Amino acid sequence: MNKQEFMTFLTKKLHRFDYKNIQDAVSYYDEIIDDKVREGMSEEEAVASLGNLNDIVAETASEMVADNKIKNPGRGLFLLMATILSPVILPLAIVILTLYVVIFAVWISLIAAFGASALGVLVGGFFSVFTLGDIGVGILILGLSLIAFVILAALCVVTVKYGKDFINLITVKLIRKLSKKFRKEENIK
Amino acid sequence: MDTQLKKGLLDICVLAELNCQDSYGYQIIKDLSPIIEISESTLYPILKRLEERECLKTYSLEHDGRLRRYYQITHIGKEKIEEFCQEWNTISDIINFIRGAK
Repeated sequence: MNKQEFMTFLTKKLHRFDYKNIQDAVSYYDEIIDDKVREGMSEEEAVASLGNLNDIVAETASEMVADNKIKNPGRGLFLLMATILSPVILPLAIVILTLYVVIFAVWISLIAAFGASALGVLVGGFFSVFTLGDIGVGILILGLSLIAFVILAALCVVTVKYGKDFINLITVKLIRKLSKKFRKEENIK
Repeated sequence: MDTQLKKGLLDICVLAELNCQDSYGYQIIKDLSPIIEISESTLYPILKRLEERECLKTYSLEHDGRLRRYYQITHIGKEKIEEFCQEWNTISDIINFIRGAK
């Protein structure tokens, strides 16, 4: 890590403090790294000699007072909104979840219905061919069952091909977005 | 060394360094390292704390075409050193007591 990268890293990590605090800390390290470079170290060596990055951040910030209420209203606002909206968000989440379940159930029953009717018509077709002896009606019914099978196959293909994408899209993206938001909040702590 | 004890000692060491001459970050580290374990990131909050308590003040001087921040001890800082040295008598009594109790 060179000096510039270190400065950027430190600035980012100290973002919850006010500008003056950050500026002060950054110029302190800037000066020391320059001094070390002047003594023959490379920038990378000078940065590495400062020690563990997380320790540096923790120690540098140890005397700084973060006024979260004034300097960083984001988190407070988020918590406030979350508290106020939780009676809204929770039922909303339940509704969305229920919607998923319903869509899933409808889809499954659609496939099941087509499967059952295709099978039924197929069996019916054979019966009519052999018991009624009416080959014309039998073939017609068998043809119907063929159509039902084609639709069933199409449904299955759609399910296999797009079902995963659909679930990925909706669920994974949603969870990722939420956890990202959560992690962001976690970092501010 | 116990961290609380070390913290107190570091403050005084930094003040003692500045009592000899005005100094800057890297110089303080270099001068104190042989005596007490100190790193750049431990020095920073010490300097901040001492400045806040008005034990030292800062000024900037140009050095090799860039600004260098110098730290200068104040009379409050000098008093702190004095206090510490006076306390030391009491502390050595305590140490003798601790040693004797072994």
